[in-house]
Amino acid sequence: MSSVVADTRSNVQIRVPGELRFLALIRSVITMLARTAGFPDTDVDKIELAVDEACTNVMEHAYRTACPKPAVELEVRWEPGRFVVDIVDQGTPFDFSNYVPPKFPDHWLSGRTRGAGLFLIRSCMDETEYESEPGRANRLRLVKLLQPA
Amino acid sequence: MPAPPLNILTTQRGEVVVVKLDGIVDASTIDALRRILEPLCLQPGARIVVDGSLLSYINSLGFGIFFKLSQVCREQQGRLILAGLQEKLLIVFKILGLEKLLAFAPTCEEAVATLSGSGGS
Repeated sequence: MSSVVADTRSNVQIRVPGELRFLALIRSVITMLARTAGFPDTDVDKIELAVDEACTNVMEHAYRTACPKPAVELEVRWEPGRFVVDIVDQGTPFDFSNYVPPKFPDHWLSGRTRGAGLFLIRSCMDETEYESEPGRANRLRLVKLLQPA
Repeated sequence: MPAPPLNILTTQRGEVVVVKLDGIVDASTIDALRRILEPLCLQPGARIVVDGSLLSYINSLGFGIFFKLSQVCREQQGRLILAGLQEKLLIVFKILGLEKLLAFAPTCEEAVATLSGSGGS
């Protein structure tokens, strides 16, 4: 069951089943919220892509062996100058600290078709932070800075 | 909730196969795209235009698949051109270093004209 909850502090919580067919719903909500926060279209597109890549990683990798797949939770809030998206999952943690970004175009020329997601997330957002509590939850925080008009 | 759509329409234009994509390419639709496109790319000497003018979204899996299938096509002495992509999608191809590894055309018509009468690779 999907749910979207908003409160009066500009916080929105989204909870969706951890299945790929819900990615479009996540993108729709995130896109709407980023527009509401005042981002130009180019930044809205970047936020959409980053959140989609992050949720895809959760559903395809963190939840690879889970059956049934747990939910993915998104906590979105915007503060003066900052738009923050926390993506929370209960899956296998990712070794964020040892991540080595791929080099392009060598990455593709070596025959890989995957592995560009985290690179795109970092390219599209201003700050990324990953926190894992083994056995409990993993939290990826994505921050986009909002420039004054 | 139904899966978000990716409608795939394949038509023959002379010696060129046009694959028109309408919708999104993400993790939920990538397998459907591959199932249609890969057999076409494996045909020796195939000339393929992927008309992406109605694509509203591609994620990293999609960018990877377009490159991979373009390579498959080339190995079979064929050619694949991506046509009509929105600027916001072309920007991501550039971020990923794919703009020089793939062939692009502004419109489907121009891509078909380029491939019509041309040899394979």
